Parts: sequence; C-alpha cells; structure tokens
Amino acid sequence: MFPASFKYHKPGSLIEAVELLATLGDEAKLLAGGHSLIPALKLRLAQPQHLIDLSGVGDLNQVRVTGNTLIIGATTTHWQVESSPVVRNVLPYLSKVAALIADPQVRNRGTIGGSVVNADPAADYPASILALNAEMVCISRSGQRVVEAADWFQGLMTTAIEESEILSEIRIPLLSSNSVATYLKLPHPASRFAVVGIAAIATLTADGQCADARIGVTGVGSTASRANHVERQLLHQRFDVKRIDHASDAACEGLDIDGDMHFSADDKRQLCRVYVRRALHQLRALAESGSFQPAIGDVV
Amino acid sequence: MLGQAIRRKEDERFITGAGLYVEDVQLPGMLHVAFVRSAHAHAIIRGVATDRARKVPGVVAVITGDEWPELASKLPELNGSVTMTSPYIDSLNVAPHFLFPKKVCYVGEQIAAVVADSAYTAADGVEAIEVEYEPLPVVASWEEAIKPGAPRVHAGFDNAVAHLKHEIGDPLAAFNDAEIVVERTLKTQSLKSMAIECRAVAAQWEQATGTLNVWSTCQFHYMLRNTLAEILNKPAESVRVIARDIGGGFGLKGVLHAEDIIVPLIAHRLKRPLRWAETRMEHMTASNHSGNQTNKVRVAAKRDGTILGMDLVMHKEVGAYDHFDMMLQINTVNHLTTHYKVPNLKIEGWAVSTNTPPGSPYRGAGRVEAVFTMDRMLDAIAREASLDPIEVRLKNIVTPADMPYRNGMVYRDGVPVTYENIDFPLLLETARKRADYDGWRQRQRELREQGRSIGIGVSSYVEGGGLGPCEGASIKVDEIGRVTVKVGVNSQGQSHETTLAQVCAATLGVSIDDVQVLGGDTSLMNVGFGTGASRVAVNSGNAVHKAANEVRRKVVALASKILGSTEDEIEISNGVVSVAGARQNQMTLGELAGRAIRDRRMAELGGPGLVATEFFYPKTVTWASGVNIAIVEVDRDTGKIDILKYVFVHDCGLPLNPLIVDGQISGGFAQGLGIALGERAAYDEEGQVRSGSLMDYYMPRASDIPDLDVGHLQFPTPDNPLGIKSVGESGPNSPPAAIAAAVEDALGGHVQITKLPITMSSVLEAVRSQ
Amino acid sequence: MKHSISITVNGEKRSNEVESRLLLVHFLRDVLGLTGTHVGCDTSQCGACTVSLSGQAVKSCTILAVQADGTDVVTIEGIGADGKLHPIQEAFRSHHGLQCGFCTPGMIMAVKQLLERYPDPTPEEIRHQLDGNICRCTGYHGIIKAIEAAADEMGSKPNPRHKQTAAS
Repeated sequence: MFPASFKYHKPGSLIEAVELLATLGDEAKLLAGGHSLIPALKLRLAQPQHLIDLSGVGDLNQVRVTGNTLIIGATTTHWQVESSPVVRNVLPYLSKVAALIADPQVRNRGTIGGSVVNADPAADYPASILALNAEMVCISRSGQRVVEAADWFQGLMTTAIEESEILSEIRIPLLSSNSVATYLKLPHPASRFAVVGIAAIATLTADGQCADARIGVTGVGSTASRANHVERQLLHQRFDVKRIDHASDAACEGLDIDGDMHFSADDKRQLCRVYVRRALHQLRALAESGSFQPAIGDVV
Repeated sequence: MLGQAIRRKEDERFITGAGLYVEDVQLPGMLHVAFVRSAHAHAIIRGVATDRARKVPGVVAVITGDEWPELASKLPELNGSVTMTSPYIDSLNVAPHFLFPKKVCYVGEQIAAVVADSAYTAADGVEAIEVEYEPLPVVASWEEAIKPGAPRVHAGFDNAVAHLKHEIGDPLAAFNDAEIVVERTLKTQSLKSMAIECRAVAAQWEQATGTLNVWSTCQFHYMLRNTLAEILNKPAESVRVIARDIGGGFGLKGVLHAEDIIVPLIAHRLKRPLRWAETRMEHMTASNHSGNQTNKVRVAAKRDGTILGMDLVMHKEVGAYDHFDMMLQINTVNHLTTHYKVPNLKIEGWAVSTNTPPGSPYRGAGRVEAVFTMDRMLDAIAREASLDPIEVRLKNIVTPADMPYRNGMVYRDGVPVTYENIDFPLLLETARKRADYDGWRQRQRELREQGRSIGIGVSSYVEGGGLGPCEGASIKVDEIGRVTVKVGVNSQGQSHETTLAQVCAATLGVSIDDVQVLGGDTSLMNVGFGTGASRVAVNSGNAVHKAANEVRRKVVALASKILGSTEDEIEISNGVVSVAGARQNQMTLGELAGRAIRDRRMAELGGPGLVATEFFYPKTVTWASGVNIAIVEVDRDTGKIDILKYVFVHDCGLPLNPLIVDGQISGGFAQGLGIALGERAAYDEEGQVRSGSLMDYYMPRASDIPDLDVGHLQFPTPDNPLGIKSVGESGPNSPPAAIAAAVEDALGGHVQITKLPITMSSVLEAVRSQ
Repeated sequence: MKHSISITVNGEKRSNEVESRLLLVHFLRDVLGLTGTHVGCDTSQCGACTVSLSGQAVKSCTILAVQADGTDVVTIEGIGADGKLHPIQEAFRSHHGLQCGFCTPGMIMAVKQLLERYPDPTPEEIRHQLDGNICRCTGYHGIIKAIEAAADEMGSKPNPRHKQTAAS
C-alpha cells in the first residue's frame, strides 16, 4: 500500500513543533513512532496534508524521576520503557506492560505518547494509564495543560487532547511500597492487540486489607476504562479469594462492551470477568510472595 | 545420496537476499499497474470516469475493458490444470469469466487498470477514478444462494452450478440394518492460502525476438503461457513465462487470476515493461478463497462400532466463478473413508456460486473436509456406543490382509482408488504408543478430578498425490562434467533444486555439487504442467530418474567402446567413468561428454552428447497416509486451547531427503493448526470481506506452535521405480479433526464440535451451552 | 515535495532525493535495488520487511524513508562480513529454517536482534521474540532449531538444552 502525498516537517524543538501545528491546523498530523499512523496512511484511511515528525524533538524522548513521579517523554518507545533501567528500578510493572505490546519490531518504534493519544480501544497502555492515575502533559501555544487519566479517554479513539496540543510527557505517580501490580492480557490471535487487558494495582495494609485498588480495563469496549464497581467492592476489605471472586463478578458493570467478528459481547463480558479475577489473584500471589513494587525513595 | 538429509542447494540465494521474486524484477523503463476494484459484491458497471485519473502526475494510461479487443477475452474455463476427468459429476453449467466484466460479481473484482511511473502514482490514479454502479442483490453464502427465488450470481445460470453423486453398495439396506445411527452437520470454513508473498506479475514485450516475457507467481506457468498465446493468437513459444522464485503457493497461486493475463496484455500493447504486485489488502479482498463447505452426514453402525453405511450431502461455495468444476468435493469424496471400511455409501454434492471471489484449492484441497467428516463420525459412533475412539477405529480399519484394497471410489484420473502395501493398523499403533495414549487416558481422569479439562483426539488421513498426467526432465552432461537437469515444474519452496538433484546424482553417479536443477521457465521444456496436487516428487522425481538412467545407458555404451571393455564392466562414481578392476583405465564424465558430441558412434545412441529427455506417466496417484494424536487442555473460563502433546506419524514411501520431508510435515501441520484454531476468510451478508488484513485473519506464529513428535514409517509404493509417494499435502489434513476431537473430549463429551475453526469464542459458547 | 536524505546502508553512505511519502522499504528495494527486503502485508504484522535501523530491528514498511535520514541501516544483503555468511544465515541453511525463502530475510534480521538481546535464549524467549515475523512454509520448527544453533555458534558454547540435527 502506498500513502498519498503530504508535506513532511521535522521540527527540532518543542516550541517549533507547537508553532508548526498551530500554523498548519487540522491539515497536519503528528508523527511519533508512526505504527498506527503510517498503516493508516498506507491504506489511505488518513490523508493529512502535512506530517510533523516529532523525532527531532529530543526533549520528548527521556525518562526521568522527579520526587515521587516517573516522567516518561511522549516519544519514548515501548522498547525504551521495557528496557529502561530507570523504569525497571522504580516501576518494573510498567516495563513488563511494555514488553507485552505487539512484537519486538513494533516495540522498537511505537511510542507511549502515540499509544495514549491514539487511544485505540484494544491498545495496552491505556489500561495502565488509568490504573496508575497518570497525568498527561499537553503543550500548545497557550502553554501547558495537565490532564488526569480519568479525564483523558473520552470515547472511541478520542481523548482530551486538543488539536493544537502536543502531548509532551506522561507523569506517573510511583506506587507505595505495599503495592502490587500486574497486567494480564489476552492477545488477539491475529493482531496481538488486547482482546482484554487488565491493569490491576492494589495497595495492601499489613493486615491484608485492601487500602486502594485500581483496575484499568482495555480491549472490551470502545475505550479503556476503570472497573470501578470491582474497585469499590475491594476497598477496605480483606484481599482474600472469596472477596476477589465476588468482586470480579462486577467487572463488566458500567462498561460498554461490544462484540466483534472474533468475540461476541457475551464472550467479552466473560473474558473481562475472568481476567479481572485472575489479575486480582495474581496480585494476591505477588503480595504473598513479597513481590511488591519498589518503595518510593528507592530510586537510583 | 537418496534418502540423505542434505542441506538445500537453493538456500544460498534466499538467505542472502539474492532470490529473484516477481516483485524484485526491475527492468529499464518499467511502469507499474494498479487496479480499480469493485466496492460492491454485485453491481452493473454503468460508467467509469477516467478523465481525472489521466491527469494525475505520473499516470501513463488508464485501461478499461473496451480499450483493445483482446481485453474482452475470457479466463480459461477449467483451470484445474491437472484434472483429467471428473468422476461423479452429472451436471455442470458455469458462467463465463471475462477479464473485465460489465457486471461485477464480488467485492474487489477488477474494473480498470492504471499504468503509472510508480506504484504510488498508480495508486493515486486509482483513487481518482470514479465508478458508477447499479447495485444488485447479493448472495454471500450457499444457504442464501440455494433458497428458492434467490438472486442469481449470473443471469441465466443456476447458483447451484454443478452436482455430483456416487453410490457404493446398498446404503438403504445398511440404514435399515443399523443398530446405531449418528447424524452430524459439519461445517468447514473458507480459507486463503496466505503465502507471505502475495501474487505478482511482470511483463515485457521483447520486440527483437517477438517474445512476450512474463514473470509470474503462478504455480502452473505453462497454463499461463498457453492462455496468453491463445488470446494473442501467437505460437506458444513466443510467450515465455518465468516463475522461478515464488514466495509460497499452497493452491491459491495454482489458478489463473485475471491480473495474470491483463498485465501481460497491456505490456504487449504499450510495449513498455510493466509490473503489478498485489497488496495484502487486495489479496485479502480480491484473491480466491477456498469456500465454506457444509457436510450433512449420517452413519449407520452396529452397536460394536462396525460401520454399515454412510450418507453424505455436501454443499460447497465456489464463489463468483467456478474454475474447478467440483474438484475439491471430488477430493473430499475420494479421501473420505481414509483408513476405514465403509461398505455402503451414498454421496451427493452441490457446488454453489456466491458473490464472493472465485473458489480455488488450499493445501489439502478437500482432504481436510474429508478427514474432518470421517473422524468426527467415528468419534460420534464411539460416543453413541460408549466405546473408546481407538476401539471404533480398529473395528473398521483396513488391514494389510485386505490389500490391495478398493474402497469403491474413482480418482480424478479415472482410475479406481486402490490401497496397496500400507499398514494402517501399524500407523495407528505407532501413534498410540508415541502419544502414550493409555497413560494420558489415566492422567485425564486424574486431572479431571482437579477440575482440569484434558482431551485426546485421534485422526487418520490419506493423501492421494502425484497426480499425472506426466512431467518430464531433460538432462545434459557438459564437457567439464557438470550436469544440468531441466524440469517443467516450478517451486514455491518445495526444494526441487535439491531433491531432484539428489535423484539425478544418485542415478548417474555424480556428486550433487555437480548437478544443477533448472525449472520454472517455459523456455526450458516444451511441455510441463506445474506444481500442485503434491505431484512433483512422484512425477518429476521419476522423470529425472528415467532421464538419468538414459544418460547412464549412453555413458556405459560409449565408455565401453572407448575404454575397450564390456558394458557390464563400466562403473560411474563421483563423475569418473572406469572399467571395473582396472583403475587406470578411466576417464571423467566431462571428457566422455566432450567425446560424445563428436563421436559418430553416438548416431546409434540417439544423437550427439550425453543428453536425454524422458517423461514419467504415473499409473495413478500414490497413497501417503498418517495418524495424528492431539492431547489438549481447554481453559473453560477463557476458551483457550493448549496443545500439550502432538504426535504426527506418517508414511510417504521412501523419503528423498528426510530433512525436507520433516519440513513439509512441520509446515503442513502449522497450516492445519491454523485451520483448526482460527483461520477464516469471512464475508458479511453484503459480500464485504470481514477478514481484510492480517489484523483479522489469523495465521499461526512461532509462539502458537507446539513441539511436534514426528514418527516416520515407510511403505514404498510399487507403482514407481523410486518407491516414492507424495508428502506436500499430508500436513494439514488431520490437525483440525484431531484437535476438534480432543476439545470435545476435554469438554466431557457434553457438546459436539462440528464446526471449524474451533475459536476461543466457539469454545466459550460450547461451555455456556452445557 | 522532495527531501534530500542521507542514509548509511550496509556501510555505504547513500544520498538521494525522495518524496516524503516514500516508505523505507521501497527506498531500499526500488531506489537502491536492494530487493532482499520484502513486503508481505500492509499492517506491520508479517515482518518480511524487517531491517536493522540504528541497531534495532524495525519493519521498514512502516517507516518513511525521510524518517531514516541520518541513520545506519543494515539489510539482509549487508549482514554477512568479508564475503562470508553470518552464523545466522549458515544456521538457517543447515537446519532447514526456510522453504520459499520469502520471509527469510526479515526473519534473519529479527533473529539478529533476538540474539543480541537474548544471547542464550530459552525456547519460550525464541518463540515470543519471533512474534513480529510470520512464516507460512516451515511451521517454525526448523527456524527455532536454526536459532538455537546460531546462538551456540555465536556464543561459542553449545547449550546442552539444544538438540540439533544439522544437514550435511
């Protein structure tokens, strides 16, 4: 397949990129890793007049920790997240999530910012963005705007970002040392996207109570969302098998679940419940074996 | 030499990126072709507005069907190039298939071609063309197509384009005598071959020699040559089709598609070299597919599991144009009873046109449907009679004492199906032991106590392969002792350059390093057919053997005269011709070849040079066979099927090269696994493709493939000098049936698995229905 | 709109004017004539177009040539050194890791990265690191054997876990 013609721009700084975007308006598309956009160009599903390649903006490609926050630049690739010593030290959970995305070649190019902005309903990162309570930092001519994860995903491939904005970084609050986290994914046999992906994070008290539970769900609906009903049922309860099994039954409540050519809505509801349950059981097993996320302050 | 695991001679160019696939053909001044394709599954073309496209920068020409008279041609009617007879068929009435039809009958059908200076600008041109359609009602499944009053795919033609029937014994009496009758409706899905290389064609009119050179991905290059020559009213030799390096075939490339013909015709007119390379999206939309098939089956049996009779009604979708009459269903019939005796049989089948791309074979070509039917019915009897599935199989199995065994079928070459020198019980017993069948039955019970769902499935296949009519080989020894073998077949990965070189080297007494095999070019041999129907090892292998023997005869005759010995005393080893017991009395084969060009004594030996051309005509097909046993675990919560163990026991006669046989089994198995677990070409009610890319069409990857425990048995055929049988289509036949049986078994026998593919979704649905 | 790009391909600096929409794979194949890198799908699944870009395996059908400006690209044609085959190439040949050969260049380029990242890979690591490459012919068993053999060869110590039967 062969893209239609467009003009290619490669700004060298974020300011330059923002200016270009403001000037070119909706005739321009931002190009990060390109692993959603370029296939769309090839199929001519997208035919922008201009492409603004962000790979020249070095500021967007860094991983750092400030205080209790892990900051990941928008053009950080999945492989960089997977292999980054910083991420592996402070939030190994996220490295493991990155390692489950697509395949090695795609991970070398695909970016966290691209995934979060594209908001594909079956993408992996969005579930974790929600469960981690991440913040998205958007830059435009008028300055910087920070959007919380809960406000970010608005519908099918729609997010809170404005047309004039560039996502610059994702800020992720680090987990407390009594947190356990897992991402459980059923990859689609053909596309390797998530049929269902459950990002589950729980903070447990010394006596085994659930002080906080955050469950992000991707794959089953038109956009990623939180399994609020499950979370509520876990909160301040003993994190035991019975409670988990009971709470998981509510996994689909409040979610808008559609079927597709491969899985019916009934299938997806069942898979969602099962994967939430299994993810929570994994959390329990992690807690029992002492496999908590690193403590805040253990940062290298 | 023969039977040795020799690494492949063709690999060097492939592992260094030096292979020359059709899309790699680059000629000076080459232009690129792209096709305007139908957005509708059924519509009259009212108009094609091309003006805007002609103005697109880079566009050189826009071609519609009325441009030149030859574009009004039809595709050849019967494309199944090696089909010789059609047993069982009593009615056949197929619509003509034009290169540029005035009425499109499937989504993706070609409407116009754009020629441009790059593939990019050609795509720009296609985008600038507007087609005015008058949409017509669509039938996208056989069920819809045979309803009374259903819209017709082609006016004046019934949607049921062909019908067959066959009867053995007295089926009515069998059902009257039955103690058990089991009935199933079995559905197998439409598939695409999914070679990683899509189709492609490049063409160049060579003014100086008056030759139309065509590079094609077609498996049957002579068919393409002859078709083009006929349309252009030129001698066949003025069209040269080169189909050398092809990136996988598996059946879909074994049929002519319209582009294969249109692109050379345009190159001929424009006198410019052209290339068209199909995109994956075009492939998924417009290339052929194998067609859904539904088999409604009843089996009459005794309570002890003995089969008395079977009644089978088949419906097969053949898409918008049927180029294979009922070849796939005839294959289903002829492979239906596999290793078992079905004394009374009644079969009826319909080929049904739908508004989907034309049907064509996919590796297995009706055999998967046969095996799935036979094994699912044997399992149904086992369940009904509360017998172990292997017990039921042993009750009905054809034994060596029954050989030669005729099951009452007639192959496509008109010869009655006959099994000879095959030990089916040994295949089954070998598989049973390798799989530790009895041990797993025990573990299955234990693990069931722990809530785990383990299942075991058995499947048996036969593979009629090596279909004629014939293939030839032309061998020449040159003056430095190098041996060139020319064959009329081409390769899509089957390793001919190695296996046929092995046959030649072993027969002639030369080093394999001194043998090169050339194929895939119609200028090499006057007559050839091509690669498909698992036919090359048997046909070309034996032709090479025959030709090498003929060269050997000339070597012995001439050398004995030159060296002054009797013919019996001449030995050929490693390219040296010598007299037995007189080592100094020798010459190299190269020297002898040089002498043979001028030596007058060659007049009595067929003319100058150490050359020979021979053809091998197989008596009929050979019968390879095998037994597969799958042990699976089903996750009832997710529908996921894990294969814990997979045993593949097979016989392909004497293997030419065990490494390559292993590769064929492994590759075929993986395709069978895909058929079992998820591959599916799907169309919606409007005929729009639902499996439009590799995002939706599943193909197994490395992480999906279990280890394979392969057991080789050898039952050589008496029907050819090398004792070889086919292997190419052995792999995919049994995995769907074995896995279906294992999944059904894992679910406790409370549900029936009657439909392929067995997706996670279908398992979940089955569990929910319990 | 044309852009001047300069890419080091297989050790040689190549400077060309290209359209912004030209994909890297077509730059390699059609502009430079390096046709060993193939195209098998439109959607970044099959991996036949895999090349090494700045040391990483990438799908060259999903990268614009202009994006590769200033980078170092290695294709199947450039993987061997001094006219000798790379050990991965040798291993594919010895263990029947290919049939039609169409996916092979991309497969070998993916394996190169696999063995850089996992010099002593487990069978599971091999299988999962091949998720970006589809082979329709071999059923992967020959490929997996080849990768194990190449790992042994490149690591120069055979792993007892690997049981290989190479062809002569």
